[in-house]
Amino acid sequence: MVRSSLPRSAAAALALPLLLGGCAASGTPPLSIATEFTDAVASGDGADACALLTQRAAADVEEQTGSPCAAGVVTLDLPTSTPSAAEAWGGEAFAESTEAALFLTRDGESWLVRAAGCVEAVVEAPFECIVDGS
Amino acid sequence: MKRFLRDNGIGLGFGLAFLVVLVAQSFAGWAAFNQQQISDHLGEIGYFDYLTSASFAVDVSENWQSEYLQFSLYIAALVWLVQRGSPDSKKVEHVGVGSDEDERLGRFAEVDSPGPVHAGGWRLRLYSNSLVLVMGGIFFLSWFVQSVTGNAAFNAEQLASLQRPQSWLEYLASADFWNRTFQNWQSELLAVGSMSVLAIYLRQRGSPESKDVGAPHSETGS
Repeated sequence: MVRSSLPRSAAAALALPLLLGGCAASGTPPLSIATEFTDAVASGDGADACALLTQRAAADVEEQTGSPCAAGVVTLDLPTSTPSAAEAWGGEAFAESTEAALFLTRDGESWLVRAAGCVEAVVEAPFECIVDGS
Repeated sequence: MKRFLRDNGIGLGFGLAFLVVLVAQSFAGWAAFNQQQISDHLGEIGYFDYLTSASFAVDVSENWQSEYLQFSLYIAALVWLVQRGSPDSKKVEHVGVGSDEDERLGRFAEVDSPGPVHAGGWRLRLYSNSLVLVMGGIFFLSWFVQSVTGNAAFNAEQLASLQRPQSWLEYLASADFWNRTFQNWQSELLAVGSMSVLAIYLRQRGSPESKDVGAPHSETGS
């Protein structure tokens, strides 16, 4: 499920459409990018995976592994189950599988992964992520 | 033209000032939003993206709802609440909806009274409460917009902090929604209540919101 920033039924009822945030995002949806990322990690294709990370997330991989991102990302034991749902709010998005979640940020018409392998250790607290570009 | 401007000074003056201040708010809000984006190591957004963002919409609508609530309450509550000595109040013995004579209804209607006054029935009942119905309607609509756009803005902030987004119903029960709501309501209630009491003793020469400068403190109504 991919939601735009505002529920469509609610947005339709609003009297001030020009003021409302959250026109449906154009370009590649965040669920597709999240799926591409987990698929790349699952198939050991570090270069493709790193191409989908933000600069800060790629730097975090390199710092943790002491290797270039493409070599290091596949050694981090990131969950590889395919995300089944995503939702976007403004310039940020969230995709979740049964194992873990990914946080994405808008990059032009597409999205980049900002954090991956994230689990909610404490309810309502920030997720703890294996790759954290925040 | 000059006469038109004079005859519509309140609507035009405040309407123009509203637009100027709304534009000023949009630029200040845009700058503040991008400062936060930089703090969160996120990308800055353009001005027009900000204009259509939930962040701008919630900041606008949360203030609109409280202003319309303020005036809706004031219109409705002052049917029953009076304040001796205040220019905003009816005379204390006139508490309630007033007689037909007071309200120029029925056989007291005038030739140029509005159409529903002559029509009577449901149209008159509706028209008799039309001001508070429309002002109250704008309040509820603005509050609803605040809830939807506030939910969207809150979720964007949640995601920026690597936290789980909330549904609209969860947001309605959240501290963020009620904090935004109550902080506006308290200020509006304070402003109208204090103005009504201060105007017992203080004056502004020439303003219809004030009693005449020479009016005694005990005189109620302007």
